[in-house]
Amino acid sequence: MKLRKSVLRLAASAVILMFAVSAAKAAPRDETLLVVREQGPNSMDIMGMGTNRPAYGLSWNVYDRLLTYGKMTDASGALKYDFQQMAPELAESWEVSPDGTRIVFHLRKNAVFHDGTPVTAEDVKWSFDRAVSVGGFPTFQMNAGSMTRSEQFAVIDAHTFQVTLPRKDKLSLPDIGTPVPAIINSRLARKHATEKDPWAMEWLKNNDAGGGAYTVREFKPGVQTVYERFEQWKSGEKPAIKTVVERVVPSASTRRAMLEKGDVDISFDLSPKDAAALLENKKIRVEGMPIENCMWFVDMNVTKPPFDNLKVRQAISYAVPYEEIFKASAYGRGFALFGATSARPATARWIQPYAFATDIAKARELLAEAGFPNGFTTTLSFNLGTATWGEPAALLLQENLKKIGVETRIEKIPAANWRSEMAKKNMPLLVDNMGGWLNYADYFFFWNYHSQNGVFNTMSYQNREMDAYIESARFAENKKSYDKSIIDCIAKAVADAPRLPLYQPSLDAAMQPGVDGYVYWFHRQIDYRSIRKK
Amino acid sequence: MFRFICKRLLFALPNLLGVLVFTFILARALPGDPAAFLAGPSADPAAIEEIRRGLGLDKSLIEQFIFYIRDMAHGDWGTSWTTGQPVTYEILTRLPASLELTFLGLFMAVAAAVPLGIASALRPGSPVDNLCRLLSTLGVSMPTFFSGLMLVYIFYYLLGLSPAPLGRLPAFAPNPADVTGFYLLDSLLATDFETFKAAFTQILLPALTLALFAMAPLARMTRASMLSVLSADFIRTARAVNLPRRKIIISYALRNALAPVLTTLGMVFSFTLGANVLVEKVFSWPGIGSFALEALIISDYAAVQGFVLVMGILYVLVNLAVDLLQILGDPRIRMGL
Repeated sequence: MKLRKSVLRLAASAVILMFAVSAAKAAPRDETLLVVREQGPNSMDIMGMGTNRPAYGLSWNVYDRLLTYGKMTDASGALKYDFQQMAPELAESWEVSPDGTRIVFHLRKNAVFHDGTPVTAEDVKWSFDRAVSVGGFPTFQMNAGSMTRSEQFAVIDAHTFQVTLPRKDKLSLPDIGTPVPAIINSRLARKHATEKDPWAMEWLKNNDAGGGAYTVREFKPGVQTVYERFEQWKSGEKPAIKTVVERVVPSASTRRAMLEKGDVDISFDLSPKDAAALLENKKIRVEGMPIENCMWFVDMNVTKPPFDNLKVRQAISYAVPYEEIFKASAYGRGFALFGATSARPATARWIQPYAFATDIAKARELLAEAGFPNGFTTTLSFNLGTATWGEPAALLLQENLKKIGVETRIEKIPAANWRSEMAKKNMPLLVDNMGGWLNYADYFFFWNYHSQNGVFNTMSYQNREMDAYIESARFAENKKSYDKSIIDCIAKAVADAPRLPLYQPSLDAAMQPGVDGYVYWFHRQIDYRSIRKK
Repeated sequence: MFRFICKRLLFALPNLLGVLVFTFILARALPGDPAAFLAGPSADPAAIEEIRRGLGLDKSLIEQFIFYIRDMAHGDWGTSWTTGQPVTYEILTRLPASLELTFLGLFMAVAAAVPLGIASALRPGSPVDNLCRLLSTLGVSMPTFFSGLMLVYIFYYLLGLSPAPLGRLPAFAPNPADVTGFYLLDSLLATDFETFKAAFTQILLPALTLALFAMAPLARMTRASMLSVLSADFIRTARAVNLPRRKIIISYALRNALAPVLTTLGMVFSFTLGANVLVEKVFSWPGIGSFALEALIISDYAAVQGFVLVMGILYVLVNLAVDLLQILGDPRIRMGL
């Protein structure tokens, strides 16, 4: 009996030992970084069809662009990119002609791709040609900077490249700094192009033809991506991290447990709930930054009665529980976009609160004036793909609308279907968010409020006056006239009340205290080049 | 025997064809517009239309189906939009991960459930029987994601005995040379005990979670089947002639009681393979279940169809294997062939 007991004990301790040894064997990791996130990149080609958001991050680290952005420290001391300052990347310098229609880039002479071939202006032209030719999102993004045809791109010599523009456009240079015009090793890519596939879309999806700071050592979509530092990288300071492992961990609880245990360095793109909870943990650092040019809002479709009636829209605007939604949906993270005191803002700062506030009595009064003293019935939609934020907002809104007699049926729309529902413009009332890469108010207004009625204009709002404000802002000659146009836009948006902004959401990353150099970027991905470990 | 297998496989063909047609139609009945999804955030209707044409989704359903069958016949199962990879690649890399987990989980379940079932059948109403009942009830009523999270919380978060639930291997461990796709086997084949240990400690908790879930029906079935066999005449006779107890229980009772247990095992195998999607989520296991779930959410037709087809094939094979085992175990069926 005694023997049996001790054998059992021995076996038990052997098992425990086995666990303990393997748990303790975390390699020395000052040059390695372990990142966990919910979803990984599905393509290595930023210009590919159906490329997802995490793939922007892959492209950003593996490919170079001609230009990048400067960095700045914001009021809270966090690092972020500076959207007003372009900085050299593959191009060491550039000149803009006095009329703004010609930009000449001088490439670094010593830059090489990952396979060792030198980077030339030919590669740059091929990449830009590709971006404007393949259609879909990349072509569209190039268009935002007035680049639409391959004739606009010219090779001057091996290291000089020129872009011609139809007119001066303040978005052209910033657009060249977005992930889309990544510089591809054209000689390598062309080898894999076929007659049916002249831009080597198939091959570039799974293969690295970049010259950026990191090479891809392993690419297993949905499982993990392993990045390895490219030692011959010339376009910036040598990154401190040698190997980055980015693992897909679908369960939020698992991600949080591993971070709190200190087994992972960074957990990225947290839900607001987890971010708020991790802030309590003194051993973890949470870096949060309101997402630029992005807002959550309530939209009313002005072509769907009774929302065609301004008084009804105003009544709804008083019935929205802004504060509660901000607390429940965003856990107070981000930036409130309601409660401004004046309908006409004093500055053109973007994003800024609109002059909407909760006042149920006033809502009832306006609804009665509009001819609906007993309220009405309608549908309230939100996207299931962003239910973490959208669902609490929709439920709180439903509850408050009941107080003024407006009955709503909530319709949860699957993520795959949301975009096509938006395009149909049939939803009378909805909760959603929208964000633009380029941090300009006129860019936001163009996409959302312009009468061209693009897919993001889910309120079907069309107004000549508003169009005029937007256009004069887009091509304003000086800051003063730009600011005035933006103030006009905001004032008009408040007066007509088709959209009720709720809050600007926050992008949160949680990391071990020893991880340093995290920078907020407009593409909302991690730039591994600047990360260091103490 | 060989003829029997061939016949069974032949009969499976219409089933699989049915699965093909059914999933094709079902996938298209899913809500969602893949073209709009693929076109990305800033596409206009023209771009969406262009993508729809590129995918062949503007054609009639019949035409799409004919193309689909033709491609399948050429080994082209289409491309998953979620991961951007060919569906065959996804299935070939992910199925072994799921199978390895399921096999180990089932092995653990059988190893625990059968002795437990026998013990409780031998002494109904005893503490062992109550324990069996308790475990079965727990196993059935606790959702796997919950028991999975509990195990992670206890063994990883609180006790620190288990490694981080990061998937099949720790973050910086090298993959074993790919032979079978089963990391435990591959690492042994390469005599790489380091990797074997790493893979084993990673798989232990998820397999245990599955085992807790799969144990319940197996233990119940063993118990019930044993009880009915133990009260049969031949057992009474065996007892009367004073055969050794061990021989009565193992050779006579258990062997006869095993048939329904085997059938249950086949069923449990099939549904754990499907149900481990939640376990895969909790433990970041790169298996086929989590892949299929992602695919469903965004109406990833090719991936959903490929997944269901593979599941169909597996069901056929599992049922065949169970029947073959029955034949081996029961001479009466063998005679009837």
